[in-house]
Amino acid sequence: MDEPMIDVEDLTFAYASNEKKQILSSVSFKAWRGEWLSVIGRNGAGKSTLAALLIGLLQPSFGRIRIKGIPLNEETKWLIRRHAGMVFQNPDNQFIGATVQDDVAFGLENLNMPYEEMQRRVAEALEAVGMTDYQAEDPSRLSGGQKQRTAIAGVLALHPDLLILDEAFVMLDPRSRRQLIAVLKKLKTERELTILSITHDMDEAAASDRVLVLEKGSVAKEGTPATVFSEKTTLDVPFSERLRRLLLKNGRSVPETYSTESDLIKWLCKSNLNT
Amino acid sequence: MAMQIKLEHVTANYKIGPLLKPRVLDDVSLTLNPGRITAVVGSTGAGKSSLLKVCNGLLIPSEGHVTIGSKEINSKTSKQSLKTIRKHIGMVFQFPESQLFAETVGEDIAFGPLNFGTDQRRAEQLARKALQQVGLDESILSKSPFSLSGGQKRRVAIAGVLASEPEVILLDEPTAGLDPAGRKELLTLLKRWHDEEGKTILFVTHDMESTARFAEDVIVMENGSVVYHDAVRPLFENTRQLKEWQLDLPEARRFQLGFEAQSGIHLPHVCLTEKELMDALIEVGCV
Repeated sequence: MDEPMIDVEDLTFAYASNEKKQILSSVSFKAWRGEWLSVIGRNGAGKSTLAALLIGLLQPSFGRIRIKGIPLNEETKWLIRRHAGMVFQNPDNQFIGATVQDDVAFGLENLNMPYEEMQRRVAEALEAVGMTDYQAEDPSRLSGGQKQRTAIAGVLALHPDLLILDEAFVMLDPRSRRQLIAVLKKLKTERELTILSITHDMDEAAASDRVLVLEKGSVAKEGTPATVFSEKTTLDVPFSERLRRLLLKNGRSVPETYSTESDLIKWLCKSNLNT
Repeated sequence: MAMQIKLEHVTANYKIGPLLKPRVLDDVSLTLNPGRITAVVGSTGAGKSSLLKVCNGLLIPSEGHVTIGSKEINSKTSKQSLKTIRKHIGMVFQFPESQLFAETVGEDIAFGPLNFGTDQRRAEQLARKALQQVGLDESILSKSPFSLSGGQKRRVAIAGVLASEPEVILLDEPTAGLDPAGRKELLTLLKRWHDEEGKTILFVTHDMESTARFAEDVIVMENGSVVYHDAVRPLFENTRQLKEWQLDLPEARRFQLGFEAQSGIHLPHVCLTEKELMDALIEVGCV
């Protein structure tokens, strides 16, 4: 297999003002081209710090990060940001343009892209997030969810190899969230886009290829959604697992390990036939 | 009795500088039951935040009027009278922690009551009480708000609104960005405040779990209009209607419908939590 898209080794971070308190300690993981990796964990587990480090907004105290094989540092971070796009939680902090389409075009203008190509990419990105109808509007007048979709379009227009989402879906209604997840899945397959998604949404995590669980700044668990959610943890788990555990606690017979919602429904139907 | 909020034929336009977005609220009439927890849901851009804003005079109706207690807000209402209204109607904005500004948590929380003319000693008392209501320890009163975690900051910001002892509290996406456990904690605290003080809560959310578990009533908005305003459970009965409004189902209800479709067994109640679902499955003898 070729080089990993993200290669994080021994990543450690503490603020200079409080060196004893490590926000992240010795975090190591890889993400491959075309893979969707979800990072989950409670508030304060170090998730957002990890995202900020990955994009070079913070400097690690120790350890290293390689993106597409390039070590991330002060000199390379601008090069790397051409390949990696990031969308944050609060969209209000991310607007520059006077209209939605200007805002989406902003990143492309910085790349000295020909005008026609730019127009094509802006239209395509707005289409992908379902914001075509709003292209001439002032971003500050949009609703929270529309702002968030515009911010995501701005990053998609750059055709990044790597997309880092830091709770980027929180302002979206569930339907737009599902639509966007479908769009990203498509890009993942078609363009081999790598997605690193920091999320509290367990359904979103369950839909990804692999899950990384952060606890108090360390990697507590890593694996497919099925393995991670089966194990006993204090972690929030998908609904089907919560129901399975509740039935188990009440002495009812249940499947032995984590089942997806449709598997658990099948199981319940079958067990009903047998009784 | 808690304060009643009544909207009669309220139409409102949203204006920033020279730009105008017409009819963000389009002929809305409703009465908020005092002392209830009501969730406002609907797709992005449906007018949810605008509904909150007309309830405390941040957005003035262009037509119709809003009655808050004995006060009326219409297109001719003066700014001075809005201040007394805002003392009674607390507003918690999206990501309220971005508005913390004081040097200490104590000063930040006391700012509201001081601003409404309370004396220093009383304001400090209120700050301590509010801090306790959001489940934080008094030891953080002297800390800088910026040294706190995201979840703590959110609670301090909410305490700042509670400290003014409002009759009604309006919250715009109060749990956005919190993890599921943090979400539950915050809503439990708000519910406790509601239970103890008997006051009204109106909150905007996208989260159907929060709606199913914490709200008593629901307002569904679509294109600036209110299309549903009733109790929670009946809302989740009519799945076809929900789809039309682009609303999701709570997880338990989604599971229930999936199960009913595949097994052909109809569960006796609309289930909104895993506990209710388990009880229903046991009742029909499936587990």
